[in-house]
Amino acid sequence: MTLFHFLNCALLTFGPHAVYYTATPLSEYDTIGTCVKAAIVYLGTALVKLICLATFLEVSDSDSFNPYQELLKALIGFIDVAGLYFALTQLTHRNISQNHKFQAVGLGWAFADSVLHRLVPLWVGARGLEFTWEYIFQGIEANADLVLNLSLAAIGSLMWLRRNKPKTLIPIIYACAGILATMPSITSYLRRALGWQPPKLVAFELSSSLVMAIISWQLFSACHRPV
Amino acid sequence: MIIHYQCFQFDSRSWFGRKTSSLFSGRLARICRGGGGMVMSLTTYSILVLVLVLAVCVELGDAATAVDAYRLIQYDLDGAPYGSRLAALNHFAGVAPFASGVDLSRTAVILPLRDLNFTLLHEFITGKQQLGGLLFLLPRDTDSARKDTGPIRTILSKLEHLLIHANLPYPVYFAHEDDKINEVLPDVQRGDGTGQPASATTGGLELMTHSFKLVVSTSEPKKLSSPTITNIQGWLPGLKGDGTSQLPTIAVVASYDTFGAAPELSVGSDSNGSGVVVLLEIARLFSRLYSNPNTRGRYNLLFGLTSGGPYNYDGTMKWLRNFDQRIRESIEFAICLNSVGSWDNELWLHVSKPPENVYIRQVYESLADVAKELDVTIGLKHKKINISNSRVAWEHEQFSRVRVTALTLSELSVAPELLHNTGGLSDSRDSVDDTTIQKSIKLVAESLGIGYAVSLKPPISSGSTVSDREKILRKIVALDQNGSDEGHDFHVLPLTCLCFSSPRTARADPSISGFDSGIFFSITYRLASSLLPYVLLRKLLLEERHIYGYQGRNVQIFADNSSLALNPFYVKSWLDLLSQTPRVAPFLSKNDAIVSALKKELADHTDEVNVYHETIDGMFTFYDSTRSTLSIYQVTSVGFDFVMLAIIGLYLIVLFTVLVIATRGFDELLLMIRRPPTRKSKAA
Repeated sequence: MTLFHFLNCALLTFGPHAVYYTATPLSEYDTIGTCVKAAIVYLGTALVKLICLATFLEVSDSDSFNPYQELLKALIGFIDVAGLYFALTQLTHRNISQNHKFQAVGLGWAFADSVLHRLVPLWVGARGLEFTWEYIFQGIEANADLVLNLSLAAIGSLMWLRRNKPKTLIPIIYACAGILATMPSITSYLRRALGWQPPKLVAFELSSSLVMAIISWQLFSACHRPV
Repeated sequence: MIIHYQCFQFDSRSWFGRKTSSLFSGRLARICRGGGGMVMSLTTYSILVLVLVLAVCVELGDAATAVDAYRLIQYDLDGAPYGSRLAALNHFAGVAPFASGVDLSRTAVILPLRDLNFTLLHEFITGKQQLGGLLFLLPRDTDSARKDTGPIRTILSKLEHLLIHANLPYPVYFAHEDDKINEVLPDVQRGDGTGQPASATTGGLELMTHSFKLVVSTSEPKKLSSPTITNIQGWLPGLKGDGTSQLPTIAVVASYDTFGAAPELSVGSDSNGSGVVVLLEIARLFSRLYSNPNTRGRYNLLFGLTSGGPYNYDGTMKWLRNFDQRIRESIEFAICLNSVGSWDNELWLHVSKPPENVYIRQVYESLADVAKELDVTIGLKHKKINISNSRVAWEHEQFSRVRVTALTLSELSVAPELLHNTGGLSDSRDSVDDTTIQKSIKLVAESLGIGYAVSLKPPISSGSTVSDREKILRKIVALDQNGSDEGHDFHVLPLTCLCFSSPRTARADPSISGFDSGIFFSITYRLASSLLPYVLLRKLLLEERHIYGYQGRNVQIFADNSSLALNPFYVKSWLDLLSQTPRVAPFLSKNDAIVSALKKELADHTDEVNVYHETIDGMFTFYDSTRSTLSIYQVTSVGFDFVMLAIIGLYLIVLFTVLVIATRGFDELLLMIRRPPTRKSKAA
């Protein structure tokens, strides 16, 4: 049944966000407001990115990898980081600890990202009779994205909210932030230039997001260790 | 709505900043929050319902493969149903071989035509086995090698015979082989052949196999109410002399419509595209002759493109019944053309009047004469009409029923059965040969040309003796001939008087070089004429031919390399056009492109063109929906979806557990699990 398939894929794509919210102490402290605010900021960031992309990028028919275009896309991707900075620092949150703040912001950010990029293709495509693995892969990608966004939010909060950081770790922090911010460009490079197939690509995304999450977790806990 | 909006504002404000809510009166805020909540829950509920309703309408979406599919014809003959009775298809695809005794009522069986298993098909049809649907895959035209077409054509004609006379209560479609379909076939075969997905109770591995669904979404086929058939006639009048008597007419008739298993694929190149092309070329040649009053014959020529051929020549009958009595009586004879495109060296002349009939004999002899020169033979077949039998196998029988002498020229030696040899699937462009059609054109044109030339001959009374005749002829020839023709250059003409090389000599001079074609035409131009019966004239001429030692010469009006030569490119282009146009009469509208094209073509060649619309008689009823799009979807079984749900559910539960343990600690998890029982105990 095709609606069944749609429900499966929707569950896979959006379920982890809900599970994350309910499982962690985020639900106890009622941080839903932060999540919603982060989602709205993401919306604004996405609009700005769209305008920039439309202005600066050329539309090409082929799916080949054009380094110049990809570089431009990466640069525009840094607007994402700026948006995250805005969400983390500029919005007035209720008094929640930094620990939870970055989680809430990251969660809201990732949820908005998933909804905007994946809901409509899912609705239109997964309900049809034709079966493809595409939407399952999209769901797994959404999971990987969640982890990536959480790590980026963690690193972001480290960079902008934490005042006293161990000096040695600062370059690592910035390096991680750089890698996380350019992750979309890296995946598109892999897909287009090297021609990786979806299963391989999704596996890479999952593994890389897990690795980055572990690294950022280590960094976070290292920075929060009582000196 | 306004209240709801305001309350929502209140709600959101209180949401974002509880401190500010103290600015409003507490009661108002509480009421609004409560009321707003109720309204909000109503709207969310309605939105949810709407979403569910939308979701349930499953869109078919993009299929992996979509091809054009042509439905088997559906018709009723005297109330008995034939053909495929359904049009919509939505079943799993299956490919032979099947396990015995398997239920195929929910399977659409795909049968590629290259290696068609006729016994299986017979079983399906004669055993009245209920299938979900049937799909025949026609081999692609482009990649069939020349040697391949023969066997394929026999398969196609056998298949057509089988399908047309069967009553199949499921949709039957034809589709051309495609790369994508060919990829699908082995996948389908890998399963158990029925293509149906394994039920949840059968083993786990089968859950992952894909099955394919064939979908044709179209509405139920409807009866065609009063389908029209269109007869087109062209009239080329002869040169009337001073007498006001009606000129005799010669009719050339061919039916242009077809009938086949797949109406959208019935192009009928041989039956009867060849006949149409021969008719058009003859019309063109004679219109050139008739365009100059000097060379206009004293016969009217009537060209008829009739429709309704497969249905006992219904259109021909209605066309004849519409005729003015005088014109009908003036028809001396009619030649009907039926399938003249793929014979080797034998053609048949079918007649219903006894062959001793004068006109028939003369036509047969002139045809035989020309045939001898072209190295082919013409056989004569006589078949009496049985008035009580409604079956009309040849077009000339309709003429005979209204007492007009007619004959059919055809490559078929036996009368075809009803709805056979009507230009179906097997009759495509490569079943006709261009040179054969040119031979047919030459045959008919030259034999008509004999009559034409004869008609131009001045009158000679039949009672005179040979010497008298000779004197008269010489006198005729002695008249001054300074008129020249308008550039028609004939090499030789079949009449003795034309062989006089100069007006002075009375002896026949067989050399071609001294011949002056101008003589001939100016004779006729100056001389009055009332027509001697063609019969006698011809007799006379044959004698004279003999007298003047004119025998065994190659006679051609429409010789090659003359301005009256037949045009092979014309033949080819019309044949190509007809081979790309399906022409099943009930599905041709009144102003269909091919009808208009034929009308325009006849209008170019003849003086007067009339188009008559009739309806097919009540014996046949047709149904529409002949062409649709077939989509092939790759679908998974329901079991697969359940398995996926289980996996995803498990994943989410594991994620939940891991997160709870990681962030809140193991005890929290235990608390969560134990909370419901403790609540129950508390309530108790």
